[in-house]
Amino acid sequence: MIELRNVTKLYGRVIGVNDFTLTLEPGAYGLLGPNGSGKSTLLNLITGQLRPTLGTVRVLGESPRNNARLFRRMGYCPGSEGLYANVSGYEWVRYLLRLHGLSSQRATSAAGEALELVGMSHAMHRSIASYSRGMRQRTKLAQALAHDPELLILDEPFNGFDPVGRHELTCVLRDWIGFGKSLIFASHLLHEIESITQSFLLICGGRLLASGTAEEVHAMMAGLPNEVALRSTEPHALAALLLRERAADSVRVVDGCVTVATQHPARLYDRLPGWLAETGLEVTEMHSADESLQALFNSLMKMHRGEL
Amino acid sequence: MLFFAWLPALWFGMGFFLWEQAALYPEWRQTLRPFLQSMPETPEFEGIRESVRTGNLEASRHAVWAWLLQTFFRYPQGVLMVMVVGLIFPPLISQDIRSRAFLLYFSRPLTRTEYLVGKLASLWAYLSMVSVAPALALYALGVLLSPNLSVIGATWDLPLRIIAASGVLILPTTVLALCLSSLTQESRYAGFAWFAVWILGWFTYGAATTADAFNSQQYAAFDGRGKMVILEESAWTHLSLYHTLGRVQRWVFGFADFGDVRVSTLILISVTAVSLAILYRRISAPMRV
Repeated sequence: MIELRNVTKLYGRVIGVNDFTLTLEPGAYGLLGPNGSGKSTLLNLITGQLRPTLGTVRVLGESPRNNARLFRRMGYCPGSEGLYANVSGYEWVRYLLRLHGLSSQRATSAAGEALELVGMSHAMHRSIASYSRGMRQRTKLAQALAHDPELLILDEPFNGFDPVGRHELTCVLRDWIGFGKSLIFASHLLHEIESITQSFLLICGGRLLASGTAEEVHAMMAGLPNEVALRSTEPHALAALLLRERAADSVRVVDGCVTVATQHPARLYDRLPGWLAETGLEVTEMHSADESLQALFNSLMKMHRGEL
Repeated sequence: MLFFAWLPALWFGMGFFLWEQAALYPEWRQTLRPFLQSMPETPEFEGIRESVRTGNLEASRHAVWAWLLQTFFRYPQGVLMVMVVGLIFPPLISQDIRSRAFLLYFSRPLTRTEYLVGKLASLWAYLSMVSVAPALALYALGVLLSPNLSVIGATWDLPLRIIAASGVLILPTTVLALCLSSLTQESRYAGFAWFAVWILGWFTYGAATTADAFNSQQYAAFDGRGKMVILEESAWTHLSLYHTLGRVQRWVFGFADFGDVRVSTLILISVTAVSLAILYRRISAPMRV
């Protein structure tokens, strides 16, 4: 479906995407990376908005650059605003569908259906200027879906959504995938992608760090030290307990918080309640310091540089 | 503004009416005096004066109609064009760049050329409403006010000249306008640049021409006595896009030889080509850093 071969994109002296080689078969993929990691640049290369400085990009067997024909088969929801404030969402989607070559009658019905699908039917005749950020995002999504493309590309589609909206959009996208359509969507939040697909592309610093399912990524991370933060009323006693039980490779106590580095976090999670019950120590807060995506990227970057 | 754009046509329609009435009724010829005084004292217009003196007005019908139409294009419609374009064009591309709406446009089966032609066409439509349509209506009014339909035979080429003059007016100006719009994300800067091009060009030209006339002792241009200075013929014409357009339109309506407007034509073609090249480059890669 998508093939990138040694693709590099330079913005002057700044690297947007760095020597990216990737082949994706039809399916659903989450493009995961922190802000500024090159996700949007990659999507803009895939949609032909940007020309690669080096390398080649092929989408559905064709070069996407200035390839108007290819866009009959693709839908794109960019991360940026892109809407005119002085028209209604319905008019805007309909106008874009007319640009797509749909007849007036077909564009009218398709615009209405797409806006209904994304939950905008109640406000679609209002001016876009009066829309909330989530409503604008829904309208952008509607225009991407409205012509029923084979491949849907979404850049940070959940931006501006409330939890209910996120759930609704998740359902829409799951249904979309269920119809056998392909999807690539970018996000910097792991759980957003996990709620829709299990296939990840991890990108950071313009480089593809890892790809595969969540299990594959976690398996790849096994054996690397994980950090767990525990807050206790007696942090030094807790630190001593963890070292005595050989549950930690290293322990750091700062401001009542014990940060534990361990290669076996599952064992720690399993046995900690028993140890606390035996010793009478209290833990008021516990979270994995490595839970954040940035930490995962840091580890992957260290692996990439050969530091781990 | 589109409504007001048609009002000058009524005024010029009066000119057609007076000329045709004078052709039919000799007593109406007195009313042509102010009309004749406003004509430049050049050989092209001497024929018109002569035809009035001899009473053979039909011989000069084509020249008078062409002159009325050229004046109509040159003054009210030229100024209106600057204002209409200045009001409409600034956000046409700059807004798409600022909001990144081009990402939505170009994720459609729409080529850059189609996008460009679409944007230009919206300006062409408005400008046609202030140039081609009222000018053709003016011509039709002239025909209707004529004693008989034989005038069509004598003036058949004027509608074609109107379309050509509109092309001269519309093409370079719309391409330049969109070029300015594509160069910025702020519509107001594009609007400012547009009016600056016309106003600064006009004043620079005016100042240079005035200084020239003063140095060459052509005071007559200013007090209305003696020979009129034909401002379009000034060596400084090309400082002003407005006057450069005027020169080429004079040729289109048959009041100048092509040799006289060769440089002006070349300038307009250059402005169009350079603006188009910049415009195309900007919309080909709007995300270029």
